[in-house]
Amino acid sequence: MTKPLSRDEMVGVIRGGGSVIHEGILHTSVDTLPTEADLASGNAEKTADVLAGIAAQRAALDAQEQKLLAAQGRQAAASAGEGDTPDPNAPAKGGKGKASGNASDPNAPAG
Amino acid sequence: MSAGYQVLQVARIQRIIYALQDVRALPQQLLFSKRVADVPAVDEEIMGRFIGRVQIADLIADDSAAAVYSSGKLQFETTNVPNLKHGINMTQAMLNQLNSIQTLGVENDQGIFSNYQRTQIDKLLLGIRQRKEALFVAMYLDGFSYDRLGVKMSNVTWGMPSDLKVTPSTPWDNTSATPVSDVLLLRRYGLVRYGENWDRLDMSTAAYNFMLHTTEFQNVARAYQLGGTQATVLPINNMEAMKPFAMQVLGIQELNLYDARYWQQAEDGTLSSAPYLPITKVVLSSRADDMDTNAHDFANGIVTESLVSGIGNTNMIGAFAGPTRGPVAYATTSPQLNPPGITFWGVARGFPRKYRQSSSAVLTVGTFSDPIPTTEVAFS
Repeated sequence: MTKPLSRDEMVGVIRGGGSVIHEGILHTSVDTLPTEADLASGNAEKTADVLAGIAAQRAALDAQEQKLLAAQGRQAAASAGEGDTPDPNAPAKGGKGKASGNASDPNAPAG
Repeated sequence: MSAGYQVLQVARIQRIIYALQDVRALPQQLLFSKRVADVPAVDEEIMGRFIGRVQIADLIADDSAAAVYSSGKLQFETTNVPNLKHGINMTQAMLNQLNSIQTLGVENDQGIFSNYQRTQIDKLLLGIRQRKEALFVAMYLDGFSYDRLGVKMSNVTWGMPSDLKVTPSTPWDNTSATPVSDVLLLRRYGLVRYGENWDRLDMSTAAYNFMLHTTEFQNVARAYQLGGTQATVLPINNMEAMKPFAMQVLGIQELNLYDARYWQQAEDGTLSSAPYLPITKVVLSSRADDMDTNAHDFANGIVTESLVSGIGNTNMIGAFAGPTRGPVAYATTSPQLNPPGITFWGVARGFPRKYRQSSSAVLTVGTFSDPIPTTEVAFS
């Protein structure tokens, strides 16, 4: 016995040039398809799968958010540091905000 | 040409073709071929798709001029018209038989060779009809792919709207599927959106059986009080007995269980069979569109062999009287006589065309596989 289509499979049918009937409604566009949560309603096993999926998505989104925030923080610090606040992660600067070569690079030859 | 070989002349073979077409109805199993008419066509229009709608006629008062609208146009899909062609080598025994006819110069061979020849040509004709049937089914399903002997066609479409190629979210081999709702919803959709009254269903026995075993079908069948009683147990294993009930439940006039198969030989000689109608497909169509060239037709072109046969120096025995539409048959000889042989050929040139893209719809009711072996069963 074949299981009902997952949302991904429904999306595949529509992108392949077809339509999907689900619970008495003809879906011709991906936008109108039920969500994974809708499809899992009333099915404990599927609900657990969907919850795990949502948690994984949330974790992935959180990671992306942290990455973006960190980048934003660095950018803000760099803009502010053009005056007097040094960015510990930024390369050493000299003159009017321009890099002064490799003066602070411990591996650089002395000169 | 000596008298014995007269029997292989194109004119005689073509007479046999016409006779076979006249006296014999289409084989029972070629269901879709009875629905699509052959129409004469030229090459440029064969693979085209007609764009435009048939418009409702105006009411014109006496002595008034009627409006003239621009006609539809043809959209070219490709200009390479396929030939439907295959051949059969004459057996050595029959070559010897033919030789004795030729040696004796008799025209009456007590029917031995004539019967053999008619049988071979009949086989060729049937093979062409089988290929046409496969093309017709592909047109109803709106999908055709072919890759054999250097001819590649991939995902050929006749332009059926995507909302008429529907997949139920619960496959029919799941008892919680809703086949009755699926069919009724699609029928209602076709009626409201496209004005199509699909009153006929074609499906495989496998799909039909799965439909009968769903809880929804059985509940609806009971609600209809099938047989005039509140049956608690339905005779779902008796497919024929359930057919009228299924038609009533689905609101259709005709239900065909179509399991016919065709055989084809791979390049390595392996024979395999396949159903014309894939077992997971259910076709909705209207009986009123049968043989209606406003819905679809088979564009039947002039066979190129008939054009070149008169040029001379071909291996064809005899020549066509002029341009001829398929299906035609003829015989050729081997020019180097290595090995000496004669081949019968059958050929047609054409492709099915769909004029009203919504004239059929298709349900893909699952991914279940065919339990029937597709390769030849060896005799022990």
